[in-house]
Amino acid sequence: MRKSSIWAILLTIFFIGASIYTLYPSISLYMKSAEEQRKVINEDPLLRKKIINLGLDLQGGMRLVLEVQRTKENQNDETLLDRAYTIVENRINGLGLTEPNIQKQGRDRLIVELPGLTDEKIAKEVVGSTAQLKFHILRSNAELENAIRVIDKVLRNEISAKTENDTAEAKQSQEQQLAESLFGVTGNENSEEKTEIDTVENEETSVSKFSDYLIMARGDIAVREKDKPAVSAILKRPDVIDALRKGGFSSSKFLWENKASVDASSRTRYYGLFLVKSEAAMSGENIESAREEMSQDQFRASSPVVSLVFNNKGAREFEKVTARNVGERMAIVLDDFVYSAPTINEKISMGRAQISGSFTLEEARNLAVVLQAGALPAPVEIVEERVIGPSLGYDSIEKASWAMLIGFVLISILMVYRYKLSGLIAIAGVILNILFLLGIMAGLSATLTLPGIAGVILMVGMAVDANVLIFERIREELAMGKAPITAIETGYSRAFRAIFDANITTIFVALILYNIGSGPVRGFALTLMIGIIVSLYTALTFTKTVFRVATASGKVKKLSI
Amino acid sequence: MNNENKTVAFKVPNINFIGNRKIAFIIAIALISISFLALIIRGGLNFSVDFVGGTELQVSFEDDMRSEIGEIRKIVSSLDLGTPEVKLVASTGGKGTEMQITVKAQGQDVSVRDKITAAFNRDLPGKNFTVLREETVGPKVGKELQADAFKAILLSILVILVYLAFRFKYPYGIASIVALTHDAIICVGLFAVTGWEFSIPVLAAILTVIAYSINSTIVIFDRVRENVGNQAFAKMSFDDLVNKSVNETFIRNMVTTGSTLFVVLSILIVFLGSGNILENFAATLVVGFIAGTFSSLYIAGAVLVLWNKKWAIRK
Repeated sequence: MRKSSIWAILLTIFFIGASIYTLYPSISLYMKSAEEQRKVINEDPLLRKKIINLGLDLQGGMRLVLEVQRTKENQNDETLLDRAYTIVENRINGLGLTEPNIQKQGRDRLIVELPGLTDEKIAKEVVGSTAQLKFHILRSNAELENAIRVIDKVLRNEISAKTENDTAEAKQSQEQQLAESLFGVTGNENSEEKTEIDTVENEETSVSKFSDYLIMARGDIAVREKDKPAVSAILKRPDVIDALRKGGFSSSKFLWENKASVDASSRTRYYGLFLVKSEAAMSGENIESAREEMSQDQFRASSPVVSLVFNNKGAREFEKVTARNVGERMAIVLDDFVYSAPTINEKISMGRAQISGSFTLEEARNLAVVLQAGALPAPVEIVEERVIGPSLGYDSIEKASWAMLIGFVLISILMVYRYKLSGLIAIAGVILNILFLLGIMAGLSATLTLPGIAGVILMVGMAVDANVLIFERIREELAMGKAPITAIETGYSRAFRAIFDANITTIFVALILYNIGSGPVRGFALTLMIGIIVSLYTALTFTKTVFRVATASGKVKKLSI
Repeated sequence: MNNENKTVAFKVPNINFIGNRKIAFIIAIALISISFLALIIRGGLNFSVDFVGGTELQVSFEDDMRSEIGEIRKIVSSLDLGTPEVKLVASTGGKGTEMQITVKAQGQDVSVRDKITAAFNRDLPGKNFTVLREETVGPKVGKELQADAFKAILLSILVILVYLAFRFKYPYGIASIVALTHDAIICVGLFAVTGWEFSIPVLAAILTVIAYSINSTIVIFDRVRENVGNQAFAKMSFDDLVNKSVNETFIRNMVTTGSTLFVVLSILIVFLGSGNILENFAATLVVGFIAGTFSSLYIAGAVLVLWNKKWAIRK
């Protein structure tokens, strides 16, 4: 036996061993149930580097692409993406998922992959919210009433411009209504009284007054969910904004409650509307920690809240603000939505605050995660979102396995039929190819996606190609009368050039594909590339060695090919 | 000489590839024309949300909703998200129904899923459903991918041209590009004619077809190069030489095409009707591989022969 053959055999055995070694962690992991898998991964964070990872399309999960929205100010800020990266990373780590993944893309984008997460609401809230925490002092009730009156006037002028309503009458019924609403309870009662007044003066108009939309709920002004768009529209009107400014409210603004409340009896959903000082009394950037807790309120049942602890600087600032505003209400505002607006009973020196609201424990936890991680340096927009449930993934794997099996059997039949024993050797080579391919992927801790599996299947089809080229060549040489040993050598050397050229171009194309593709398609390009390299090796080394060894003795007269 | 080995069957076929090139060209031009016509009539391809932006949802209903597809279409239409495509998809088990609902190209954003699920909850009371899969792509990303896809195809063709010109002489490169472009156009034509959704995996399939087609062509050209260098054939006309080369490599091409076709056909069959991305992917590969083999056998060599008639390739 030649020396080169011995080396080739040793090398092949080494590769087989290496592949089995690198594949072992993956095999032992994926044989376990989903529960056990999660446990094992959580216990050993390094495991991810040793196994073939399953793409999101196979194991289920969410992929988000976030784009940082730059303004003129931070247009050239090179650190913007890095800062956003860190904050988003902290947030997703706080979600407690297994193996979340975040990458930068280009200048403005972050790619976030969250395996196992399928609640896209959580992802959007936790990952995508700017999370600017601010504390605003509420305006007094008197001021609130005034503002409402100002707006009403604007709308009323519009009404009287359209019809010839008696303004005095309108004003009177308005004040009556306001009085009603201040003493009334919830929407239903109001609307009954309202209709009586309405029919008197609003028969010909389609524009309602601002205060028509307002109801009273738990001591605050609120708006029914269905009226919210209309009210928002009114508040955005330039003439309303102008009137408010002229009416002395230039340093105030209206803010919505972040979440709808539901009235138990009437099942109406409503949102609180607050008038606050435009300038924040304090920002939330000096928070040291935020944690979800169960409230210890002696008057109400324990409910989830978020406890904030300020750092020294924040605590001092908080002390000053609370001291200055005892008796006032302070709105806790996140991204311009009011989460709660408790009254400041006394100066707070402990540097602690509590955000209560109708949270579920999960909502409290998500908010805590977001606050803890900090505010994003700029808002982000979700420009791509893909969510896949795990059931689809398992189903695809099953189907793909069948395809692989059927394809493999068919090819085997074809090869053995045409090339007999040599065909069998080629098929053995294909099996080795699959082993090496998977082994390399495990070694690289590459990610296997569904198109990636298709790539493996495709590689099975293409792997025989190199062998076929060589075998056909050998056949030609044999037909010309050459001896087996010579035929084999000539076959391999002559065929090499064509094999090389053909496969190199495929690798080029796969590289291009790898660059423009993302996720699933990238997995395909990867398996294609590795597959080609591996099948080249096997065709030119393994099968060649088998032939050489078989014919080395010179006794073989006829090649089964 | 060892006569025992003559029992090995090696019959070189004798098909007149080059001689029949006129018919081959006519067929090729006909197919390409159909592709372009279909493209014009359809006004473009049916791009998936990957390329034009939008949202695609795969929803599984617990009940049999097959007769209510029209209802579902109406519900989604009323949301002002653009005209929806609602398609039944082969369900993976049980009596439930699985559907794909797609709204595209109206600048939709990530709120679409919530709008649709809310509408279902409101207008289809009591019908439980789960969203199995969601893909939302913003319009900006879609446009970028379009540009990237275009670049990828162009770059691939360029790279192959350069490499072949480098390894062979450049007429070989040109001839391969012609064959390869023919394959790419036919694949795109498939989608223009059928109106199937053209997604990123389909693009990957087309690039794979290009790579694969080149393989076959290179094998033939390598044989041509070898035969050209072989003094024994110096008297043979170039046409005959090319034809001989194609015939000599015919079996290899058939076996490789056969085995790869087996493989992609099994992928196609297994995923047929499931709405899975591999469905169109595999279909493209099947069509592309067949077209690729055809173009390698009939077109590439023929172009080479034509070139030779005008500007001699052989010294």
